[in-house]
Amino acid sequence: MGPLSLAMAELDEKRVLELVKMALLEGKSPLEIVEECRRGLKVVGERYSWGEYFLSDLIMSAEIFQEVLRVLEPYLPIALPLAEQPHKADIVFGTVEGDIHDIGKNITISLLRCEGFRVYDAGVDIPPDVFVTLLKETGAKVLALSALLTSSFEAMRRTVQLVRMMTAKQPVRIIIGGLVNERVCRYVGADAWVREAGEGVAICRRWLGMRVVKGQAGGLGAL
Amino acid sequence: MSDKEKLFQERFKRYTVALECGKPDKVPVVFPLGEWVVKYTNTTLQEAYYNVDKSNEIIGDVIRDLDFDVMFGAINLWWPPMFDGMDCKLYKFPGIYFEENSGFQYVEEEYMKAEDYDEFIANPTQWLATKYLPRICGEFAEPGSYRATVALIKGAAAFAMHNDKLTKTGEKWAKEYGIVSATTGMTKAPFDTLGDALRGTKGILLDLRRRPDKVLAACEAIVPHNIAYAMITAAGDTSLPCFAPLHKGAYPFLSLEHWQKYYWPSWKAVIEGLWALGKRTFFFAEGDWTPYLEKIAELPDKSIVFCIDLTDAKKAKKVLGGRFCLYGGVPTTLLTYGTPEEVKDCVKRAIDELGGDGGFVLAAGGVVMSDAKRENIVAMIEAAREYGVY
Repeated sequence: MGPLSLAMAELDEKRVLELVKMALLEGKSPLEIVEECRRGLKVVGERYSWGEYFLSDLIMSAEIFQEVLRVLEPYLPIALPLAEQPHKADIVFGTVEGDIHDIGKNITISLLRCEGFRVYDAGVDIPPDVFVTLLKETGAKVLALSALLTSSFEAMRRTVQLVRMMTAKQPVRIIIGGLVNERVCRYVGADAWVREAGEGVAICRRWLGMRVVKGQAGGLGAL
Repeated sequence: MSDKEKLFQERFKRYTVALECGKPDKVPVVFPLGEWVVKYTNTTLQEAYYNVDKSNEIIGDVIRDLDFDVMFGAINLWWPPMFDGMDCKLYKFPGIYFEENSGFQYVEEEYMKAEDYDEFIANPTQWLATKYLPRICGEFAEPGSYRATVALIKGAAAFAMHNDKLTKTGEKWAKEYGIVSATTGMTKAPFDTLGDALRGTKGILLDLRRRPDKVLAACEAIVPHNIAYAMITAAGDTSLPCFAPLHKGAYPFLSLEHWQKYYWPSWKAVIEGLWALGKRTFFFAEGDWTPYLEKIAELPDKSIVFCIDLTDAKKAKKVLGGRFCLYGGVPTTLLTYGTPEEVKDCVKRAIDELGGDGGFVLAAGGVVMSDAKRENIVAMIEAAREYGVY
């Protein structure tokens, strides 16, 4: 692992940004820089999964990566989605109607974007029909529904039912996150459930495939 | 002394003996009050939130025939008119924003910016009055104006009115039903005050790496405020513990190192400050606190009641048992998704594992919300009496 990956893994914000700027001056390609950061992010995810890192570290790593992308943006031939909303998306992500909690959603979206997925952040308290419209407009293949309140499971169920009915020609896989389990998943009719942001990313990777491929412009385009 | 008063004395003794880690005649059992009681009436949640007398009527109907010792929780944790009168945007209440049967929710934002730290640390009260209130309340937009001054009076009056109502309600439950209140007063961990209300979750977690000294200094500055707030809201009472809902100290927000450095010292200072005044803290450890139990054990004996939500109960018993009263035993999810039979088994197990030698209060491990089932709560209370005789 190079010094940039290492600094990323150690969540050393100042050093990461210094190294990124230095690498640009040395003429390194932005793509290589992103790839090095991602290698560091992978370590962050691993450390979180075995309990060495905590939520605060996960949030910090996503924040640093977003800053790196901001630094790199002018050097890239194509526009990065960063935190802006993509017109076409792989994933539509929102908190269901009646629930305004967004921390879990935001962490997961940051991690998904770090992985190169185009995520449309629908926001919080989103009625079922808005999800349907967003899926059609963005062409997304995955719908991620978040809720913190157990009383929001009804809204999840209504959303899943409406999406299944209205998007028959555009098969959408639905993942739910929050304080959910197998029982809730079956009740609302989703395809998968997760309690952890990292698990959600892994499932999206399985459903949609890897995004950023080293050295391929096409991979970067998807970023 | 009336029968109800005698019953109150009996239950009060049962509860407080357990809080002192002693062994009462029976395991005290707590009725988890929450929005669920409204579900079984034709009243909307909106009405129950706004009309305290109406909600008391509903509660009275539910508890009339149940035999329990202590009541914890509320239908309306916050009285909405207090916020509406100030055009406050901190909470969204049913009927105005959400549909009339939704629970209230908190709107988290970075109400305090990173650049506000120094001013806040220098004088938290002044900063709150001149910077925070204008940001969260439309009526305070111009501090010092006639409108803002009236709003300040309205807000304080509404807070006092609601507190008074709660006190009178407590007295009514005691007198008419012989029921003891679980807590008096409220406080928070300084890190949660800063993280929940001011900097927001993301804000404070990033601050830990970007401006850690400011976080420490701000938490220290909050300590005397949180001690005072506890005693003011308890109206000086020290016979019952002070409610302290705890959030970001739960696993896995912070690493043990960060927890020890940023969460714990100021929170410990509040607990010890209150204990010096004779006030015990109701350590409402929402979520999982297992990794931090050893540090919590450093507190003065009996200075807290430790509430077990998702914390490993066996480990809590091992590390804290005997020196601190343990509270909980029934997961809130079981009260929603379980059956009365499952709840009954759970109560038996909890009493066997946690209650054997006293210092234990049987209760739901967290806040019971609108989705709990009445039959499960009744099963919990009945099973507690069946298995909970020492």
